[in-house]
Amino acid sequence: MTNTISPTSDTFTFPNGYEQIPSSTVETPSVETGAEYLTGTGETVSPDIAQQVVNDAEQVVAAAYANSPESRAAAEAYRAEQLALQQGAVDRARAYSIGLEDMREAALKRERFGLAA
Amino acid sequence: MRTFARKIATLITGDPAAASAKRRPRFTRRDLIRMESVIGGQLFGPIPKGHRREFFRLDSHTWVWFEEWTDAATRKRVHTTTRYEIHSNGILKVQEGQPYRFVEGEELSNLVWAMYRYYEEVARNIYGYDPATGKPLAVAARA
Repeated sequence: MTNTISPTSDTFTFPNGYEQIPSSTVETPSVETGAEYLTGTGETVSPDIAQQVVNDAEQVVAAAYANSPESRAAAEAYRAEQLALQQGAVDRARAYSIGLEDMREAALKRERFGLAA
Repeated sequence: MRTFARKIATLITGDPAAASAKRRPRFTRRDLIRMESVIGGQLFGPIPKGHRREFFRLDSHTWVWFEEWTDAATRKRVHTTTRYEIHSNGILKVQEGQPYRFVEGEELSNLVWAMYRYYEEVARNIYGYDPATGKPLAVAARA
């Protein structure tokens, strides 16, 4: 798998996926109505459901390669690789998110209490 | 008497109108998210004419992609929202009418790269922090 994004490029586009997002009526609002989301309109998927998604994907692999142990082994190896990549991605995404949350909270606190930046 | 007391209070505490204006917040959480989303929407290259794109971190475990445009066939405005949720076992992609799925492969690399760029740009340009050190830019520059 090659990553088409160069760290040195000023801008980049996603090579696939995003531009093909089908139009749909969605409940999760944009920033303009973000308060609705913040107050619970768009609920976060529960960890149980998230785990179910993992289980479903594993079952799909198992079913697809039920009669082909070698192919199944390759598919499972691919999934293991993906899980490892996801763990790394989660760690990085969390670090960025928490760092940004701290900055946002600090800005709001300064605003609220009139503290110097 | 009341006027006199008010004048004394003003002498001690300053102009009440000015004090009131000082207390009024210049921005709220939503304002900050809106500012962040302007940067976020530009991370993926040029925005097609007539599109509105927002990409922002809503809270410490949720990122949102919002895109709005005019459908060529119907001439109506349509929009789509994708929510990326950070779970312990991956980043879950949530779209209306689509099954939940964890982001994988190249899409995952692209997403994390976008988050990194967002972190860098927002830290530096909105909050005034050096993204590398996490310290305020003025302090980082002095060091």
